[in-house]
Amino acid sequence: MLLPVLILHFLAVLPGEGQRDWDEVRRIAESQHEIVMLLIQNEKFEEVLGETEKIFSMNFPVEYQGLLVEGAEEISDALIHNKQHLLAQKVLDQCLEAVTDADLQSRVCKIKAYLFKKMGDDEEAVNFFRKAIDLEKKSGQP
Amino acid sequence: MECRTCCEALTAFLDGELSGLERRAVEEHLAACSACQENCESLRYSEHLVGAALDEMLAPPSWGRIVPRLEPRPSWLDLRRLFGWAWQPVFLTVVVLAVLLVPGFLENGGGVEDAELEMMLSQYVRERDEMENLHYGIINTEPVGWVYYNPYADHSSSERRNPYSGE
Repeated sequence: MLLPVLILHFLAVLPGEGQRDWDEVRRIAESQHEIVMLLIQNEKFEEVLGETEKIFSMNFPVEYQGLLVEGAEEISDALIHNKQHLLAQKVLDQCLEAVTDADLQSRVCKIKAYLFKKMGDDEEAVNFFRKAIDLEKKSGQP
Repeated sequence: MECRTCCEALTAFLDGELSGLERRAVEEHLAACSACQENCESLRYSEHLVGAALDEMLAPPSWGRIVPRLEPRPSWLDLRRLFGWAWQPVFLTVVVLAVLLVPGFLENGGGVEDAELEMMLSQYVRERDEMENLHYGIINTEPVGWVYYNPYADHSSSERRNPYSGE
């Protein structure tokens, strides 16, 4: 009686299970990203944050968190193109909370600095750029 | 009695410590010797001054002013006097804090200068602006339309077939 259960449990934890889970997460994130870009294209900006939060709350493994930054970059670029700078900042804030790697956080801070510069807030732009440099030093990157 | 003997006995005479015979001898000499009499008066006045000073010193306010001057001030380097038996742990704590905090101050002092930071930021903004123009394809100030890249898509799929290859 116990043996089949043990066999099933052993099969469930075979190598590849983690990869299957990641594929599922990736597919969901891919679909959500498409939804967000369509919302922006159709100027339904009030729905953007709710959809982006679904992506950033998926607890990406550290080795794949770079995709979160790329996704946030794409979304913020699209929002900047549509003159939605404040919304772009909020999306980047969501991304900043989701990534744990200092180098990735530095990239996000640089994008935020760029945004603040475009918004005319030079002080905040310098603050975030300085934070990005400090994070780069912390991660050991030049 | 000679003057020298009288002068030596004056203090005892004023303190009332001489015997009757000695005291009479000093009195007889003082009556006849103005110099010794002058010494005696001078000594008596000095004793009066000292007595008055002692009376004032015994008063609490005066004593409070004098005592601190009598005791040596502790030197900042004299940790044992400052902290007693606890001087070693106090000294070690100060050294450890200095080792931990000083590098932090030095690091902050050696950070990127504001001017250099602004230059780096300006360069980054320029680079991003160029990327934006390429991304959104602006021709004659009108956006051509925009395509976007989905980073979550699986880009490891098989090579795309070229429809113009003729294969």
